[in-house]
Amino acid sequence: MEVNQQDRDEIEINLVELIRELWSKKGIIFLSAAILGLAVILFNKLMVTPQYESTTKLYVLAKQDGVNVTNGDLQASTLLTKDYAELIRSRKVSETVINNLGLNMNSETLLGKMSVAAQPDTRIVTIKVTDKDPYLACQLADAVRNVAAQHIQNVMSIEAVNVAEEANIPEHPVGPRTKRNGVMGALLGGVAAAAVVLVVYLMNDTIKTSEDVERYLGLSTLGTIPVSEEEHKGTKKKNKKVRRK
Amino acid sequence: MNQVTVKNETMGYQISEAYKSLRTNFQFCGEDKKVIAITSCTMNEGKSSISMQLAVSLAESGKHVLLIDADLRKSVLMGRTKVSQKGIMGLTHFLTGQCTIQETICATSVKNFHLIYSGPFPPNPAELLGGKYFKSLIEAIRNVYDYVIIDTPPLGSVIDSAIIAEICDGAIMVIESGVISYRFAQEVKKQLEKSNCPILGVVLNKVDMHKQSYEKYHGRYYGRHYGKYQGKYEEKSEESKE
Repeated sequence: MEVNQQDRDEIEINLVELIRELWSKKGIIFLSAAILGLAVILFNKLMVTPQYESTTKLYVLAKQDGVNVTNGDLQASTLLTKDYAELIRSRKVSETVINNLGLNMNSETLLGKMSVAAQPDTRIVTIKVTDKDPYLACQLADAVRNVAAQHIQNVMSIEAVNVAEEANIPEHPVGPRTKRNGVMGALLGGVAAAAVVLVVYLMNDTIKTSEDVERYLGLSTLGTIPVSEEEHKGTKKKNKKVRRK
Repeated sequence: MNQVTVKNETMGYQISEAYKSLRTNFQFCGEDKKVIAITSCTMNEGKSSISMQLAVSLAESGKHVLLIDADLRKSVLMGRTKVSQKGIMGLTHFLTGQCTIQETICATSVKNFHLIYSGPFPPNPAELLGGKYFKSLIEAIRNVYDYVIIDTPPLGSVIDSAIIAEICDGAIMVIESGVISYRFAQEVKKQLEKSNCPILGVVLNKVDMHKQSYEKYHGRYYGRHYGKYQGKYEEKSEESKE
């Protein structure tokens, strides 16, 4: 029982004290947030090459026969968009694109640059290609779309895959998202500093108040002598030095 | 008898008030607690200042007080006082049989307050303090003074204070706020308990009143209501010193 009691004592945290401690260290926390936020922004601005994204779209329509588009065709196509997306991502497509354009990259790199998404409840497959060169991004997107269309026609033995949107030449870079990253960095810095403050507070098992004296030593406090005003500012640093010795 | 001057430490209102409440609490420990050892866990926690101030404070309340600096290893009392004449004998002189008790006791500028310096650093402080001379010293002065306060070395570093506490009526632990881990303090307390000397209590030193919840009382209550007495008090105390 006694051991239990002691264990419970040790994990007891004074929430008010904790918040007060955090509040007293708010300068450090904000400073850390500002520094890390600025560092991330600077890094993004100076070191990271901007990325451009080109988008192209395919329209999927599995027409059975005849001229009219039936309701059944539309539904079948909707179900097929996922297959299309998967086929576009296939290795054959990416390898063919690399061969056709004579690029110096492997298919994984190209797959990393492109993202294929089938919009739900539509029959449109969007292909996005990201690259530091906007023209190459556009070229790649178109090439991927063309090769993929061929591939899909072969695999699914359908007549044609329709182009919904040609690839564009992007004017503005999509990445890096400097602002968002900066905010994330600032948040991370603040949280990390707060965590450090909390850990230091929780690790600090020193006797600070007369309550601590009673709790840990079972002795009464005869007197509490405050820090003298002149010493007040200098003591903290001095104390730390003494402790390290 | 040698005459020495106690350097006046300018204390704030809060601090002098704190020493007064320490004196009062100490007096409530009982009349039989006459010989008191003051120790701490490590050095620089403020033992000497507190022993000195407590002694002065008790002397000012009209008691006959003797302060013995038994920190034979690293004495600071010499720096806190002004000695006019040379060749003052200290505790080590007496403990090694080189002089009598009377020769070591110095009168101070504070009425009823006498003190004994530690003297030169001996090679075997623990043995000297454990010897019969020290015991006979305490027995002899017990009947002369109302209070005998013994400033001792830190118990966390050396065993001296446990030896001294053995022949004392009580011990006071000085703990510097926010520096000593409670495990360390518990160790020191255990060590002190082995000497069969009742621990009267703890004096918490260098407490940051601004930071902690003491502020509630000192900042607002005392500050607003009793703050107006502050000026009067300081004037009075200065007058009395002169």
